[in-house]
Amino acid sequence: MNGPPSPESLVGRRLPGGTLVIAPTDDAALRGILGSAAGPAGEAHPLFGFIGAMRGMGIDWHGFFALCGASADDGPMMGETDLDLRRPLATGQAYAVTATIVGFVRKEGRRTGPFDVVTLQVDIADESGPVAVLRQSIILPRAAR
Amino acid sequence: MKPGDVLGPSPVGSIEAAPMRVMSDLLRDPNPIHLDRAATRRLGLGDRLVNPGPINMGHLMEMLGRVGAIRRLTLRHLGTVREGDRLVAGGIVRSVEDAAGERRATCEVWLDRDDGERLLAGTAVLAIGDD
Repeated sequence: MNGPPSPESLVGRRLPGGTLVIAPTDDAALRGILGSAAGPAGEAHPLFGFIGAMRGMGIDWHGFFALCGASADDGPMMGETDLDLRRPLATGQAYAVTATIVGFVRKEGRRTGPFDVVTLQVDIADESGPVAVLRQSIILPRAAR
Repeated sequence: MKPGDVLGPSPVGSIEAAPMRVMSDLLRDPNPIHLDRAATRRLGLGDRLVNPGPINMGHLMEMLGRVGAIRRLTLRHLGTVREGDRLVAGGIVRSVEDAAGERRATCEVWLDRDDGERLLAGTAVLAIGDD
């Protein structure tokens, strides 16, 4: 591994993205593990705003960590989740998913040592525009620089 | 609903392994820390599986969904939830206002383990009825 890339090289980087379809069986499976009552007909559980973003961004976590010059062995952690649910997501409908790295901040904690905070924005959209917008920060511990 | 109204506490039963497998399938993310106790031991994470973060968010959303429709949820992830943990979701209404043609409540929200450790903390905006 060549070490962390520069913020300039990552911010603005588009991830592959893709298409999201939430199957009714997926919605039923999620509601089953959360003990959730069925929603209005055809409406997916709001947590699919997050799940769908992760599924549709077109790169798995190992690939994302590698892009950031890190690996799962470094102990990456979820930072902050900001989920903006503009309209209900529907089951059975195809959505376009676009994902961009929008932030990369280098920090150093007295106890934690150096770490980077990388922020992703993932939009789930239909023909009328974004339905759900997720901003997710990931904390990447770094060995002493 | 008015500022100061309390949401919950809403207890969540013991965290089990089977839902972790379902969430891993839904996320298309076969991370072994959610699936394989030998992997958690090997990685120094102890003998219990690590609950996927979205399940923790989902339990908080369940409590919020009984109050109103979630418009926005902002959360800091503060701790790790493991197999066998018991959780409690809660919150408090901080303000109520009209926005985007509907009545909305802004709430401070959290998810704690039953030993009091805070695992998720943040803010939810909910669309609520007029009463």
